[in-house]
Order: sequence, then structure tokens, then C-alpha cells
Amino acid sequence: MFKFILNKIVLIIPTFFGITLAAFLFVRLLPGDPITILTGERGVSPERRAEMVAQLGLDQPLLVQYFNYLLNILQGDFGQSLSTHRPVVEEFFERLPATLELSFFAILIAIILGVPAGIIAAVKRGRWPDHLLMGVALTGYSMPIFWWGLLLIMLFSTQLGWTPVSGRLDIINYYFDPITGFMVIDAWLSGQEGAVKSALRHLILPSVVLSTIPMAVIARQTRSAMLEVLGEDYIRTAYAKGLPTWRVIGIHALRNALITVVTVIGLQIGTLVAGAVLTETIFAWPGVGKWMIDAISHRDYPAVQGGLLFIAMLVMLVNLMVDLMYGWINPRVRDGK
Amino acid sequence: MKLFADEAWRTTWLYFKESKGGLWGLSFLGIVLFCVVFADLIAPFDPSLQNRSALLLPPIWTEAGHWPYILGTDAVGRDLLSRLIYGARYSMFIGFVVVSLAVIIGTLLGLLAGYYSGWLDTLIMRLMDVILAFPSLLLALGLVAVLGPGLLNAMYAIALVMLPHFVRLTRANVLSEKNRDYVIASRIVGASNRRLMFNTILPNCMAPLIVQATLSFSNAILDAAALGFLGMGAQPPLPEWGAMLAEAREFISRAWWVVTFPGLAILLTVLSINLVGDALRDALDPRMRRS
Amino acid sequence: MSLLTVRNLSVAFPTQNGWFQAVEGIYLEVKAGEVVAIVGESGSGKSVAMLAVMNLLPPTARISCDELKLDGQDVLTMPPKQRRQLNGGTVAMIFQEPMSSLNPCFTIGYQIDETLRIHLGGSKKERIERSLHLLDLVGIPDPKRRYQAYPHQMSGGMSQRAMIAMALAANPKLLIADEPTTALDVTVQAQILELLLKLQQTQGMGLILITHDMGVVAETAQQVVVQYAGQQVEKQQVAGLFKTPHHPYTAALLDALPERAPAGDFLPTIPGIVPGQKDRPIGCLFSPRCQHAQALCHEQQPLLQALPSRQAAWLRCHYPLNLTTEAVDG
Repeated sequence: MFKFILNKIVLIIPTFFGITLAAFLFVRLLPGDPITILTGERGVSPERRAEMVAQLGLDQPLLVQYFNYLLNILQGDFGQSLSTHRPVVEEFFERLPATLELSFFAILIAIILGVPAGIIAAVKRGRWPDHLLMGVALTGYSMPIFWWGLLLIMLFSTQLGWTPVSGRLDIINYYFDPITGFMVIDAWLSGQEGAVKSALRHLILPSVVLSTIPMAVIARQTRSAMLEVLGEDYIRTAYAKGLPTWRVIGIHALRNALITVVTVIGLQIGTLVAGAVLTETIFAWPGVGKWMIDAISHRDYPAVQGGLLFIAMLVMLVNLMVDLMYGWINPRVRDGK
Repeated sequence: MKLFADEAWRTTWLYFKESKGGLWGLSFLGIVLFCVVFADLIAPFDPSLQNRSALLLPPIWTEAGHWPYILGTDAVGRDLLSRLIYGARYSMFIGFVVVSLAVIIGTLLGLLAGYYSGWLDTLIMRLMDVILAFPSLLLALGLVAVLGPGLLNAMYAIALVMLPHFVRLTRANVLSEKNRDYVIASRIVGASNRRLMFNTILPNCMAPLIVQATLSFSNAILDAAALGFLGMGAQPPLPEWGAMLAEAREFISRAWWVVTFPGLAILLTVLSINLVGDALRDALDPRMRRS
Repeated sequence: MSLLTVRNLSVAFPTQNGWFQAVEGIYLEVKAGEVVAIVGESGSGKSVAMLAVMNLLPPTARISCDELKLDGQDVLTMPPKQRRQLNGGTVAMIFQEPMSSLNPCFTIGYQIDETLRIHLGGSKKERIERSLHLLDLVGIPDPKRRYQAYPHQMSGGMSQRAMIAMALAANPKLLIADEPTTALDVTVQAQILELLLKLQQTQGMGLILITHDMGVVAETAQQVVVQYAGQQVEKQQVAGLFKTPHHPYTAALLDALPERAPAGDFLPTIPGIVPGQKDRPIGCLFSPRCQHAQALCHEQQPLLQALPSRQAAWLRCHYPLNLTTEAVDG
């Protein structure tokens, strides 16, 4: 197992250098002069410019510049945002909990609905529950989620008035200082009556929207993994032992199907981040995705650069965790085979 | 160069026919393609023609709606139906160009990586790993930020983001095919590397590539619409479906039709392409044929 | 009392070209402590018939049967839940591929324990004790370590022993072994067979042994059923069958045994293959390959008939061999 983990970690090192290089070149490749890019459209005085060139090492060879950039990154310096003049790291981690909270609930919904849907479809293969569930899943998979979000707002917020249109909390009635950054937990910690409910009411539509595509993918993949497993000899053995059907399907088959499903869920993290950009924009959710969009439209390149790099590293980290989890739930990998 | 014998097409069609969903998808795509080709003839209005006396007119079956604005009008009095019909052109064009770019470049890189192995393989595959490390839509957004907003730049960005899937798929297939007897046989009779790659190996890797291309087509439409919606893709007043949604957003509480129909057009188009893709995968996969 | 009674069992599967009759009109009777061998080539429907008895066929299969009794209980009219509880408890089955028949995600101990929990109950401690005893019984060295092993950590022979331990866990009265040694190394085959017979005798179980190996039959069984293309063609006591086979197919199978072939000669083979769905003959199913076939054989299917002179012996042939002294009872 230890060797397995080590192998995985060694494998991501070249990718790490790759993405830092990509992020570095990102700003260098922009048409125009890096100083203008880094300081914004208004420009700077010639003295300040010379100072910056020296400070950023722009008079040095590209390779040295990259090396310096890498050094800065490893020390946690990802540059400064043009619009707020604060370190990109601070800006990013301030907003990360909001995105994590949203993503957590989204993936939770996706798993809770997607996995059972896949199981039922596989068990009822070729009959109406299968057709219905897979029809819904394919529709979900084809959904332009920005439109889906607008539709739900139109129905539940505008027409029915059940849920708020945007934000994370009813800020007229509640206020408390962020402790964890996760609104549901903070609301609970604040002890204010109704705060948790308000936070959840704000959370429900965005997480449903964000869960749509992962849910569809999970349902489809669970179905095909289950179909494969249900044809295996050990399922016949389980029935021959006299196990009840729910146990054969829910334990013997599912346990094996999960090996594939967990990987699929892990791979959805990238989709989730991309979806978060759209979802957060629609629901004015103050997370990383909305921040990135704002940064792009304000041409705040250091923020875009730092944000992309952070997110790529985050995705890489999650993928590593998924790989390790794969090893953990698959006995054959666990033994280092 | 003939990639598929007529016989292979016929069997594929035989199995494709079995899928009801695939046929539905194909029929709807037929309608969309009809709109693409005959937009000028069937659209009741010019898509950019504004009618100041018919602003935000609801669809014809509601009380306030009236002829000839079947699906109503938008905030500046343009006919929604006509804009949707012309919008089909953009979506199909985006899908076609993006997928062609990704398939051609991706297949080429995959062939090279799989066929030559060694440092070229490592270089290409590590490069693809880097692209894959970024969430696709976000990377496309970043690229558009560099290149500047606009439909063409959005298309290049999406094509680049899709590239790794084609490279990986082609490479994996080339690796499994290149040591087969028929390849070795034609190497022995003296076929050149180029001939081996393009005429011998490539045709035998086509089935999964076709399926991937179909599914990428729908992804390209979705991503382009998303970029349009975020203001990074097609720019108003182009009647691109995503950009139309971006314009419609502010009328969400007043005019449901300007929000509903463009999205519905995207959903149905993407759904039917995916239905076709699913059916095609089943038809091309020999393992599915037995049952 | 008989453990298993099967009367006129037929199984058909849907295919693209209509129904395929995999098993046709099977009769079977197994008593406690008895070993019955079912012999036949691949595709003769041996496994399918037994899977039907175990209720393990896919729901698409069409099964018809006049009578099916397990341990005196009528299985056909039984509610599904009760029927399921017979599996593993009253009747157990082991399969051809031990490696793939064990669930790769659970330890051997867990998989044995599951059977115990369902059929016998008892405390966790008692169940672990019994599992270890079972592993020891089937000759697995170091049971404590193997209890926690995963299937991929064991060899094929060990896996089959574990499968046997699992099958025996709840003291079944009848064990069905579907070619239990086919997938194993030759040296291990004899060991597993020996183990099965030893256990069958000490536990007093009935044992149905599905095999295509006449040699195995000679060493183990009391009753032998010969099956061909989904039909039973002959049933006899083992001694009688080997001495005076009546069906030409049985005779041909026996002639193909190396021990019985004349020394120095080529081994005789049976020309042709078992008919499939499309090339099923009108008359006797064996007629295209039969050396003794006559006009009637190609026109009319023979019926299954009892041989009155012998106890519980049946035959399906128009012109039986070695029947000079007795007449066939229509």
C-alpha cells in the first residue's frame, strides 16, 4: 500500500511542474506588455515601471523568471489582485469555503440520488424503470445548467416564492462573524434561531443545479458497473447461499460496482468546479467561481492566473485522494499488485 | 482513403435502428439541420430586425400574444422564433468546427504518440495531462480571457480543452493495434510509416473515435453556450442561444419565454446528439451486439 | 425418503431466433447418502438443469416442471422467500470456477460467516469457531490466517476448498457439484474429489456430481445419468452402466476412455458435435452421430422408457445395445 501511494505521488510531480509552467506562460503569452497586464489599463509611472521590471525579474531570461515564479509559489506568494491589491492567496481562500460548501451539498445530492437510480436501472434492465431513469439521466447530462438554474429560480423563487433568489443567507435578519466560512456550520454555531434554516434555504437551489450533471453521470456509470457485476459468477454464488436479494444486490454486487463508481465520482470534481463557475454566477454565490468570472471580466490577470493554478492543484489533490481511495476499496490493489 | 467499408456502415445502421432513442435523436437533429440550411426561407423575420411596437410580446397561445410572433419577442422587439432558427446555425457551426479541430489535431498527436513511443510520446502525453489538470470550462474561460472574448476564440479554446480526450483515445487504440498481425504483415511487405499509420492502423481505430466525436459535439455546443452566457463567447446581438440567454437574464421575472425557449433549444439539440451518440456506441460496440 | 425428486423438467432460453430448448424432460431422484453423477459433453444441459433446481437461472429462462421436491417439500408452489431459504440450508452448490465464484471484495471468513448467519444464526464467537472448524475440515492449512484472506490471495485449489467449506457451512442435505475440478490443476483435481467424497460420507449428504469425465464417474458414483443435447439418454447403476451400456452414446463415451481402449491403437472418438439450436434433427437427437442408427432413428424421437429388469434404470433409444435377454418395456 505504501508503495502504491508513493507511486501515485511521484506520478503527479511532472504534472505539477506542467501546470505551474502553464500558469506562468499564461501571463507571458498575453498580447502586450506584462507590466501593463499586471498593473491594469491605467498604467504606471516610468520610475515605478522600472522598479517593477527589476522586482519581477522581467529583465532576466525566461527560464530564470519561471524559476523565480516557482520559488514564489512554493513560498505561498501567488501575486496581488489588481482590483483589490490584496494577495491572491487571501482572496482565494476567503471564498473557497463557500464553493466547498456548495460542492459538498451538490455531490451529496448527486450520490444520494444517482447511485440508487443506477442500481434500480441495472436491476430492472430493459423495463420501464430503466428507460425512465436513464431518460432522466441523459436529459440531466445534456442540461445547460445555467439555463436550468434560471428555470428553477423562475419557478421556485419568482413564481412560488419558496426559495431566495441569491446569496448565502438572509442578511437582513441574521448576522454573525464567519468562523469556519461554511455558512450552515457558522449559522449553527451562532445559535440564532432560524439561521440554519435560512442558510439551507439559500443552499438548496444552487446545490440542486450543481448536482445535475454529476448525478446524471453517476447514475449512468453506476448502472453500467452494476450490469457488469451482476453477470459475475460470485453473484450466482451469493444466490446459491440463500442470501436475500437485497443483500446480493446491495452488498455483494454494489461493493464491487463501487470500485468503478468511486473513481467516477472522483472524476466529477473537475466538472463540479466548472459547474460552480456557472452556478455561482447565476445565484450570486460568493465563491471561487464567481470570483474567477469577475476577475476575468475585470482583466485581473494575477487573480485569474493564481485562481487557475489553485484550482488545478485542488483538482490534482482530489484526484490523488480518489486514487488512494480506489486502492483502499479494491483489495487487489491494496496488496500492491 | 476509405475508413469504413459499405458493409460495416450497413451493419452499424442495422443495430442503430434498434435504438428508439437514437432514432428520436436523429429525427430532431434532422429538424435542426433543416433550420440550419433553410433558415432564410423558413424564419418569419430577420433575426436582428427590431420592432419597437412589439417589445417583450409573449407567445401566441397566451392572451397577450398575437400573430405573427409565434414564440413572442425579446426586449427590443426581435422575433424569438426567427432568432432561434438562425441560432441553430451557430450551434451546429460551433460543434462542427470545434470537433473537427479537436479530432484532426487530436488524432494526429495520438497517432504520433502511440506509433513512435519514446520521448515524443512522453512529451505529448505530459502536455495532455497538464491540459486535463484544469477543469475544462475554466481553462476555456482562462484562454478566452487571454485571447479576448468572441465566438471564434471561444471555439479555439474549447477545441484545445477537448484535445486530450482524442489524443488519449487514439493513442490507446494505436497501442493495441500496432502489434497485431495485419500491421506486422504490411510492415513486412514494406509499407512506409506514413502508410502504416494512416492507411493500416487508423481505420481500425475509428469506431471509438466516432463515438467520442459525437459526444464531444454536444459538449462543444454546451460549453460554447456557457461561454456565450458568461459573456465570453458569442457577443450580442448575434442570435447564438447562450448569448440570447445572457441577454434574457434580466427579464427572468417578467418574460419567461425569452428565458425558456433558447435554453430549451440548447437542451433538445444536445440531448438528441447524445441520444445518437449512445445509440452509435451500442451499435459500434461488438460486445453489445450479442444480446 | 428421497432428497430430490425432479419430474419432467424443461428449460428454454430466448434467443434472437426464437426459443432454445436447453433442457428437455429431465427426471432425477437422489436419496440421502447417495452419489449421482450426471455425465455429458459441454452443451448437454447438465449445468442448466441443476441451476434450474437451485432456482439460479436468469428470469428470462422459461422453466416447466411437473414435480420438483427438495427434501420432501414441494418447491414449485413455495413462496419465493421460503424457496430462497432452502438454498444454502437444505441444498448447496459449488461451481466450476472457484476463483471467480468467490466475491473478490470480501474475505473468505466473511463469506462463510454470511451463510452461517442466515441459516444457523448463533453468536459471532460461535460462528467464527464454526468457520475455522469448516476451513480445517476442508483441509485448508492455518485456518485463522485464511479466515482473513481475500480470494485473490489463494490458489484455485484453496478457493475450491473454501467454496466447499462455504457450501457445507449450514449442513445441507444435498450438495450439487458442477464440474468442481475442471478448472483446477490435474494434481489438485484428485484431492478435491477425494475431499468431496469423504465429506459426503461423513456428513451423510446426497451428492450430485456433474462431470464430463467418465473416469471420475467410475470412482465415485452409485447412479449415473447420461445426458445428451438437453435430454437424458440413459440412467443406470454405475456397475451396470460400465459393464453393459445400452445407449450407443454411452457406449461411445466409454469407448473413448483411454483405460478401455485397445492398447497401441488410436483412441476412438465420436464424430460430429452436439446439435445446436439450428441443426436439431427430427428423429433421435444422437442419430446423426450414431453408428447404429437406422431409418426409424432419423424419423422419430425415441421416448424415455424404464428398464424393468433393473432398478431405476431408464433408456431413450429405439435400438438399444446389449439387451439380448430382456425386452424393453414400452
